[in-house]
Amino acid sequence: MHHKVKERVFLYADDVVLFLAPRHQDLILTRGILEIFARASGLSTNINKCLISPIQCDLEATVTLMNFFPGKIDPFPITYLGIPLALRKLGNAELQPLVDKVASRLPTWKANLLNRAGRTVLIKSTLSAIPTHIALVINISPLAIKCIDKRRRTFLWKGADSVRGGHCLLAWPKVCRLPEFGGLGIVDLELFGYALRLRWLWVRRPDDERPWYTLPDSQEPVVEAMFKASTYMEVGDGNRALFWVDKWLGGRAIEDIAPCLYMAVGTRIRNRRTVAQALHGDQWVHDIRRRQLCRLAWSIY
Amino acid sequence: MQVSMEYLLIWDLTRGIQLDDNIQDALRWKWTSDKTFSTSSAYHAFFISQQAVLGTKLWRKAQAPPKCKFFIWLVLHDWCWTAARRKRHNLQDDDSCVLCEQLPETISHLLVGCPTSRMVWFSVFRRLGWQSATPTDRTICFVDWWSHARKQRARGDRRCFDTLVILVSWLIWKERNRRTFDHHARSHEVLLTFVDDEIVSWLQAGYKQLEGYVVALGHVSIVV
Repeated sequence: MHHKVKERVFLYADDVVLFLAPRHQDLILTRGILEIFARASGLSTNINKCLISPIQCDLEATVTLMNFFPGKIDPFPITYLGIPLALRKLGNAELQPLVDKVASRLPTWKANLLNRAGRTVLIKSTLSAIPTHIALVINISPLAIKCIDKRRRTFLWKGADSVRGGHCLLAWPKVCRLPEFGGLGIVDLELFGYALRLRWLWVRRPDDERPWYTLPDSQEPVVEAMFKASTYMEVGDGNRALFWVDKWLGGRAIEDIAPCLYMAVGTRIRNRRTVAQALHGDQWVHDIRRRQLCRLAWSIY
Repeated sequence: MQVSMEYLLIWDLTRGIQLDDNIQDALRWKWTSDKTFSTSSAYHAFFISQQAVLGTKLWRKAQAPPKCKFFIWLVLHDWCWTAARRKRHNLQDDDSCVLCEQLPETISHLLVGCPTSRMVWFSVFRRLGWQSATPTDRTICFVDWWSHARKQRARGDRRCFDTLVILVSWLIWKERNRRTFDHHARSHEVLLTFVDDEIVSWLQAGYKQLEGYVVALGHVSIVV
């Protein structure tokens, strides 16, 4: 288990997820806790209904686990709250249900009875909305997006199962532009996914008491860059803004104003030093490593 | 050198900073007025550098049935299968306009350049006393003509004008299709009564801005 992960239990509505190490002690303890809970609250756990998903367990560990919790084995990839989960990066096979879900909508509509304007509305309101839930959490693979786009494009121009180039009057990226710029305003799923996932960076703040704050997160370069370009810091007491990295000097970061100087500061300090600390007694001057600076100066000449 | 310049610059910039202990540092979002995140603003921000297609603003504002607006959208992108386009794609040899049989049939020619369609525009606009808005033989581009002629109208008339432009263009396109596919041509008078009928039915469908035109027609009893 990742050393940073402190949470062992996740609760959502009537769902409970327990993370356990398959050690004897832990298993006995967990069973004991569940039994005590059952006696206290009257809510006993139905082991037969529980699903067990081993994460990187060898056979022996799995067998031990099964002795204590004789539930159903449900190996990864699994679906939790409508979102496919896997141990590795999600492949196209895991995202196929999403594509199928979009495709399954089409046959029930009498596409031939609608004109293109009507079909545009259907695409915008229904077909484009289906992937939202998944796109909020995971980066939908380009292939899956391509498959969904194929369905959407075919439906818009032809309303049939297949479409040829001549039927598609306008290139799909142009159709996906905003109405202000001359598109139809159909969402571009890739950009829409980025915009949705930017949200996590926004809500992830140290002062907010969100329990998942400490969990490690996968990083997407585009989303991070966009977040950096779209936000700035308003300095108050200077206890949260980071001196070297955050954009606090009139919407600009020291990183951008003084790139050479920034290079001479250690990574640890860059990510720790707040504005308040740095300005107190001009601490930031001491953060600059002289030796690094000399080397930099030499490399320029 | 650069390093010391940067050092002095930062020194200068940080001199005047006064920290206020009563306010917490706050992260701000650039793309909304209240400076908090919204997904739609983030999505819009991805499109910031894009250039708008000519006439998009007119098209968005104009009120017309969606299918007619969709047609005008294709016109703005110059993407209708006219004879000139078909010739360019080697689908046919003759690219002359079906309405006038003289010039190549591009979409702008069809809607505003062709003498036949200009006669339609003239007859429609004459009813409202807007003869000056009629496209002339020097009009080349549909969008240019539209935005130009629109500006000459009084502010209150512009909504009516926009809807009329879409309606008449749509009917000219329908007439072109009729001549191309059904080989059946309407005479100018028949086409004009068809346009008038269509305008009356649009008004009945709720396009109130066309009321002035219908009153000028004399169909006062139909006005709802």
